Amino acid sequence: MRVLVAIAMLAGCGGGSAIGPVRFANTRPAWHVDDRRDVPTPPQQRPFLRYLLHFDSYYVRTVRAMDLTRPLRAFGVNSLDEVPSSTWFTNRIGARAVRPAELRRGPGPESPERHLPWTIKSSKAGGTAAGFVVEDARGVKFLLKFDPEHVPELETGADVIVARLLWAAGYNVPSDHVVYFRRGDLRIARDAHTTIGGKQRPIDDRFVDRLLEQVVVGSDGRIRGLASILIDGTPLGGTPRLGVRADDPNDRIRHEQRRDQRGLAALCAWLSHTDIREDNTLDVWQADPANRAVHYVVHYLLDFGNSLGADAALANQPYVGYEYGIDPEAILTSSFSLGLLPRPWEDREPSRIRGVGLYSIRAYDPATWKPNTPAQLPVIWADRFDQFWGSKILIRFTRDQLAAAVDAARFTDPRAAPYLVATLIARQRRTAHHWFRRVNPIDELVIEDGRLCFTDLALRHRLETAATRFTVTGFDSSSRELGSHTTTPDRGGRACVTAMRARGGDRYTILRVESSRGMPGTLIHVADDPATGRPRIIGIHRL
Amino acid sequence: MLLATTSVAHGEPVAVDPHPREVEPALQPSEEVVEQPITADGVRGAPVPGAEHGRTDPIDTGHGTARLLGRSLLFIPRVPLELVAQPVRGLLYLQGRYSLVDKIQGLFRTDDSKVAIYPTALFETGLGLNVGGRARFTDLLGHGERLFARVGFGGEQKALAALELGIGGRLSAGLRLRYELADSLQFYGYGNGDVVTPTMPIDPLTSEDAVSTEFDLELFRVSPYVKYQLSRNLSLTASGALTHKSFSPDDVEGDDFAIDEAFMVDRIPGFASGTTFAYTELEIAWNTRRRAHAWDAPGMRGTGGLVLGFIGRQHHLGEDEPSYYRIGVDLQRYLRLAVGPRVLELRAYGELVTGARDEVPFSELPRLGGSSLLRGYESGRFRDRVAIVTQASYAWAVSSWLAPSVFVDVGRVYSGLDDLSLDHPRAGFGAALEAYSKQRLFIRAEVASSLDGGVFVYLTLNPAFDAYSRAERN
Repeated sequence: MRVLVAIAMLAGCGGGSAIGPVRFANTRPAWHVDDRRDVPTPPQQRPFLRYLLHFDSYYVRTVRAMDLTRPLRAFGVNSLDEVPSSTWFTNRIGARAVRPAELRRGPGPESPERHLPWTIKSSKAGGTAAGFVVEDARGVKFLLKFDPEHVPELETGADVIVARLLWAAGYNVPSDHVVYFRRGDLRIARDAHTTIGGKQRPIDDRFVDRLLEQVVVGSDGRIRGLASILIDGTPLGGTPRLGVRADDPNDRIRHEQRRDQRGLAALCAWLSHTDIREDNTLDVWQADPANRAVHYVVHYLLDFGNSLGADAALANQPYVGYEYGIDPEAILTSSFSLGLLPRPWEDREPSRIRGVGLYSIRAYDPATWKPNTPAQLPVIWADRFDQFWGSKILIRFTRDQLAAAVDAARFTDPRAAPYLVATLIARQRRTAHHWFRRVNPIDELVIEDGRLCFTDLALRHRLETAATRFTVTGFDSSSRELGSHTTTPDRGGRACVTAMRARGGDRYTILRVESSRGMPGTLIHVADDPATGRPRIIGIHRL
Repeated sequence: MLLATTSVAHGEPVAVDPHPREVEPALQPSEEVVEQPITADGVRGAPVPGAEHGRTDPIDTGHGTARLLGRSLLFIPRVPLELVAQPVRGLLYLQGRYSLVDKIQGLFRTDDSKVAIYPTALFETGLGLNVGGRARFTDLLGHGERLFARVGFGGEQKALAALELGIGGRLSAGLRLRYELADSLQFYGYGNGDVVTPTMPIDPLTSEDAVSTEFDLELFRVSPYVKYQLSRNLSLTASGALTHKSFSPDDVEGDDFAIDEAFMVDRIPGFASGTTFAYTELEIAWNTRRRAHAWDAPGMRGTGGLVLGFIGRQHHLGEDEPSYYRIGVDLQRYLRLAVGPRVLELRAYGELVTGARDEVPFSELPRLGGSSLLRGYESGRFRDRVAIVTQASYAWAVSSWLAPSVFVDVGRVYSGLDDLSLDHPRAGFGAALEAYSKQRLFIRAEVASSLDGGVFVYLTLNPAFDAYSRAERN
């Protein structure tokens, strides 16, 4: 298949100058897109076809290879190579203050823990773990789930941490909270029911007691659970990993080509969110918060309980994160080598810290990290530009923010939170370090007093210590070279250099910034603002 | 500066560059911001999705003339791909949409799964297609009791009916009933001899020349058993069988020989008259075979071993039939060489009967060949009063549900204990692939050959090295 892809790439290669054909309109970058136009009737619900989804993971890739499909750069980015806010993604960390307290609390309504008693409405549908649909004293409905007895605090902890981090990164997630309660806090609604063998049966005290026998009850009688507040709106099923929803006019970019979906790859690797797949996403037809008469589809990520190495510990599968559940390449390699080749996951050890899964920095390689299955094709097809974008987001999390997210897990083992924060930071840095070597990691670009200023993120975050120089070469819009300057960034990675300018019109100029560390350069497109006559950056194209 | 912290509990050093606390994202203002929801009104006038790029050059769509040409060429191999893939996709769609498997299974079992009656269709190499049905009744009285019934017709196993009633727990007991009509069972004569082309019927009791012949079997058997688990690893099993077998020559095709062409069948004990006997046996087993680590597949044995000994007495019921003892030992050891796991599996198996060659019915002699003992040879290729085989296998897991292995079996049969030697061993070798469910071995496939040639494919639901029941041999 790789040969076919190589043929496709060769077939698609065209000629071009040193600065290529990309040009930008002299306008401000778009920081929002209008994908909230009214969709009066809910789009069709999609069933989750698990087996077909997995089969198609291989089938689609084979067909694409035979179609000589060339990998394309992601769409859904603005002129600055950033993702505008939409129903998929909201610029948060880096775009506004995300205070630790906000991360600790998480998005959405407050935790139901202070709103007792809870009334059981039904039992949880789907999945294998025990759970109920519950309504708190406010009338807020939530899904109450529990940790398996042999791995206390593991899934509940991982879920709330990763939900908060992905939310702060920009994604839509449900409001998930670790809660503690007692059996006496539970009431049973008169019409509460469960479904067994396709038949509805009433839920009674005996049923609840039997189910709670499967979960850990503390010596003080408290039970730990995960309260996942139900998302308002009409659920439409998982977000299709390929194509668009034909009956959603706001859905215009093929999902496998969306930067926000592909860039998720770096975040998934960082957080070991191995369970990323279509049935852990949800499209919801929701009313607009300001005008309840307007509806549109909002896209959510769900179910993070298998992240942070939890699934590897839950299912005793140490290969998780390194190999797919069905991984033809790994199977063939190991088969033909008679098992003599060591595999990177083989020396993993289960954690002895309560609430911590197989999550460590050892043998973590962001380039080779794999989810459980190759089903989530946008993540699988992420290129270095998508990974770079994701890495730019994840490196923004500070220790205090990470600690706040971990704090929400309410671990009882005092070693758990320090270990997880240290490991999150270690993996965060390794992820960013890797992708910041594949794409020139300059950011925060501005034109100030006729100078182009930018920050080398690798230097800023001390991921690189090598002495670095930047060469900035100017070109006019016809690719004629205007000259070049070199500059050395300060200790914080900030560098400024005189910006050469072309003459005539809006003085459209392309500045190619190249690092002495050797990765491909970045093209900065500059033009005079027609309103003020002052130069501004109108586009960024990373090579 | 590097801050090295060590997670004592993990034993994993975590070298962490201190996160630069002083570094905050440039765009992060200091004041607290309560996130305001984005609204339809708020984004009115913004570009629609796909138009946010601000580019003026043509956007690369990934299409081109060269690519179209390539696609045309690849259309030919794509046709068979689609012909295979689309029906599979259709079935998977139906399964996902309508839970077909669950619905079909629901037709054949009760809601609580205590009663299940379902049709079967089995295809086994060498045995052909066998269709029939099975019934399973479990725990109807709430004491872990179970009743299995099976019928099948077709293939070499023309008719098969089996019934098993058992109870579980530390003391388990059962009763199996079996009626079977089987075609084309193999008889090569006695001893360790090479295959020859006979010029005249061979006396199997005096010649070790082997000829590939086939015979038919009609079997009726009642076999009770009682097993008591003395401790976690130690068990004692008493089993027995009341058996009647009758034999007849098989119709042959091609270059094969009929058994009565190749051998003097009147010199094959039991062949002409059939055999009727009672068998009782006591078996003691110390079984510590298990997976070595929680991360290994549940069905993949990786440590421990088996020390099993048995002694059985065959009581004559028919005229001119002898009574004799059957004695044997099965020794197994599993060594987990490395994580993964990589496992070395070793086995030594020996079995003898005390009756004379000219007394013991030919079907009751120890045999080698087939999917269990001395793989790489046809089932029943070697038979005599004593059979010894050693087996070694190296298995390695290539995923949590798949483990290939390579193996070698060495063994031979002897006419008696005083005949034991290392001369003329028979050696089979091959490779196997085991697939596991979340609980146990799901299926095992083997391809085996031998120094004497031939290729054999076995498909089984049982692990390699599983001891067979002497009371239930056919």
